[in-house]
Amino acid sequence: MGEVVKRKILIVDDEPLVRRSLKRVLEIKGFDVLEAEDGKKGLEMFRKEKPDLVFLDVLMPGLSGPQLLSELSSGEKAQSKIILMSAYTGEYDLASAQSLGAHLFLPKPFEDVFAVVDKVESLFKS
Amino acid sequence: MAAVHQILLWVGPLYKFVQENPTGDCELIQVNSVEDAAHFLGNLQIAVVVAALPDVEQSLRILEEWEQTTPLCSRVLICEEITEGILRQSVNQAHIHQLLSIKDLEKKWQVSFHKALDIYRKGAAKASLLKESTRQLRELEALNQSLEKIVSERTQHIETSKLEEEERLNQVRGLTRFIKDLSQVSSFEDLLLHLRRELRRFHKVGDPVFVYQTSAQQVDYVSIQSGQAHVTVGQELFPFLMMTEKNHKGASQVLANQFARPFAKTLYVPLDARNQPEGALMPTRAAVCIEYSVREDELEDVLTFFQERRETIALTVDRILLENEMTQFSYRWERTFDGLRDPIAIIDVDFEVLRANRKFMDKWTRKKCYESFAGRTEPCEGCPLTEALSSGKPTVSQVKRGNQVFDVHSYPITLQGAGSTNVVHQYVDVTQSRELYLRMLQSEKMGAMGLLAGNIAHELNNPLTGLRSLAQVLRTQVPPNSSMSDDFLEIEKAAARSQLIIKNLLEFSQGLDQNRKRISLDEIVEKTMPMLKAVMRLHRQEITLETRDFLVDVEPHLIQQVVFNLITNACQAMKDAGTLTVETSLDPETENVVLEVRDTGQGIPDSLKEKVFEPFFTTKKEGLGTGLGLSLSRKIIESHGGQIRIQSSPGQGASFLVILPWAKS
Repeated sequence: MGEVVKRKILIVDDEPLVRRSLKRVLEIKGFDVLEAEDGKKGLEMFRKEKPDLVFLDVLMPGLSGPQLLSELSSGEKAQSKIILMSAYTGEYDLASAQSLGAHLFLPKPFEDVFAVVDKVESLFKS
Repeated sequence: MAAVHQILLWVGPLYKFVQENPTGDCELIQVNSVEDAAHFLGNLQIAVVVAALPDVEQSLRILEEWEQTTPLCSRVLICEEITEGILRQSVNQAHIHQLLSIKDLEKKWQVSFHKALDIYRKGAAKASLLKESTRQLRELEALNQSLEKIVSERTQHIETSKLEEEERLNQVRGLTRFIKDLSQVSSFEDLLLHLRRELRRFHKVGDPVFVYQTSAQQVDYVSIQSGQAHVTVGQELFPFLMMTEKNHKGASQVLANQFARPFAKTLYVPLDARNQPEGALMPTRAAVCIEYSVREDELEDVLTFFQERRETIALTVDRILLENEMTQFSYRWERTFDGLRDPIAIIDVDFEVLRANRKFMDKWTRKKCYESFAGRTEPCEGCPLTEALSSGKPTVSQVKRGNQVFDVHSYPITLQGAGSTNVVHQYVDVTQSRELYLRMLQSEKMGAMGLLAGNIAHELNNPLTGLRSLAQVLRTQVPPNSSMSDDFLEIEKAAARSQLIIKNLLEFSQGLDQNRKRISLDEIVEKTMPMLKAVMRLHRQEITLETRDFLVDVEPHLIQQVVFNLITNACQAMKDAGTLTVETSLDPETENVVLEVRDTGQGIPDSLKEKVFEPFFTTKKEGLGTGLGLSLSRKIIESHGGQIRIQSSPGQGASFLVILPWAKS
């Protein structure tokens, strides 16, 4: 909590309420939170800000989550922890998400947003 | 007359002046005695006889004799002296014409003689005239007689020919009647009975027997047995001939064998007309045989009878054979049509059924097609007949009969040069395929809905996720147990509930490839209820679920569909606000899990209890139901080894029971 450099988290999702709720809870937990409302802006921001962790929605206008991931080089991907999220259950799971270069898959809707924060923290610890 | 030689016969002594002054062209013959004079009696050439014998008595006798034998000649008496006695005597007895005395003789002779001759001549002329007229009369009479004879002959002749004419006319009439009668005969049996009636007029002639060849090896006989015509199949070949034959011995023999009785003489008449005139090389194939016991020369009438009718009978035989063939042919067609799967009928412009196969109606009666086929009183909705007739082209359209749906193919029958007035209708039952089609349509609809629901769910899930998460976060930011904290809790709960509904909806609509699952009916009902809120809103709901621990092996989304259908039906069955009861329970005896859906509507009459499960049965208005819900539900439940039952009495509402085996272990 008292660290000088806060960990930087980028949320890429077209749903404002999802971004807002995640931002709120992550800021409470002491993270530096950035938002992008679609895939293109998400990619720009990822390259510019080099976040420690990215929340990436699958279905977005412009550039989808998996398309964004395919734009990134493996070096770029290695810089950050990536969490893929989707409301389409069945289309993606942890294995397919990992094959795209993500570290974690979160199905939407979240039952409990604090459990999500717990997962973020455990990712950083690993 | 002039040429006739006339004689003056002088009996007695002749006087010189008579001799010298003779009598012109009259010859004078003188005799002296009575005896000599008698020689001339009866000689018609004697014109005048003069009796001048000295004895007056003798002279008178001579004259009297002449008067009697030769009355035409004139009689002259010459006497010595004319006395009153002589005069009286000569006039009364001898009827003399002239009386002369000797002393006057010389003076009067000439005059008297000529008078006498004149008398004779007149008399002779008269006699000759009389004779002539008598002869003529006789001739006339003879002529008359011969005329009468001719007339009577003629009359008789006329009468005879009149009779003949009548007979001929009768004959022709009989023949005409025969031909006319035969034209209406439609079988060999009829023909034979007819012929038999005609033959009755001949004596000692038996009943006719028809024989005809049906194939190279087979000969059929039509005979009369106790007044009825019978057809029998021949035992042996029949000796057919080309000509009429009296006393056909071969035929007698075969007939005797065939009918197991002796046959007298047989008259054989060939009856084959088709391209086979009498005497043709081809053997005939049909004949009529008549048994007879008269002499051959007495058979003439029968022969004439057949001579006149042979051709007619032969033509009739030909026609019957042809008709039999046609009947066979049309029978085969009929069987073909009867064997077809689809109802087929020939229908005229007034919807009258002219012909139909068995599938159309079991027993053919002349009725309107819509009466016999659909049991209606007016043409079926969508009947293609009128259009097919007016366009003259095959037309097809769908017609409903009860719950069955038919594609009616209407083929107009076009006769050369005329418009069509009849059509052939083929009714193809498309109930099944239509059901499949509608089901496919429905599942496609469901699929599309599922896709749509997935999209909507995604779109809703995103904001709901944010909403719920934010409520969770914000709740941590306010003092616990504060009213604000409770508010955030309520928001979070509402979001959670929304998410659950979406989740259920997704399961329901995307369940096509779901597998069987062990689940409780209660859970399925609970998951379905939220989707039925709108349809249930008017009615009181009594939900009692008691099988949470008694699971069933089912495909949840299918059972969900059944629950959905049953509850929707129950609610729609209640026009006014009623009570919907949904109960689940375990029947411990049968170990079945039972779901009951009950309404308080009109109820279902017994007559419809089975029908409601038929596809397309619906009492709902067009657009409100497909009529597939219950049939689909039954199929689903039966495929799970279960049953759907109805309990209902009119006015008491209806109850649908879904019975599924409990997956106990």
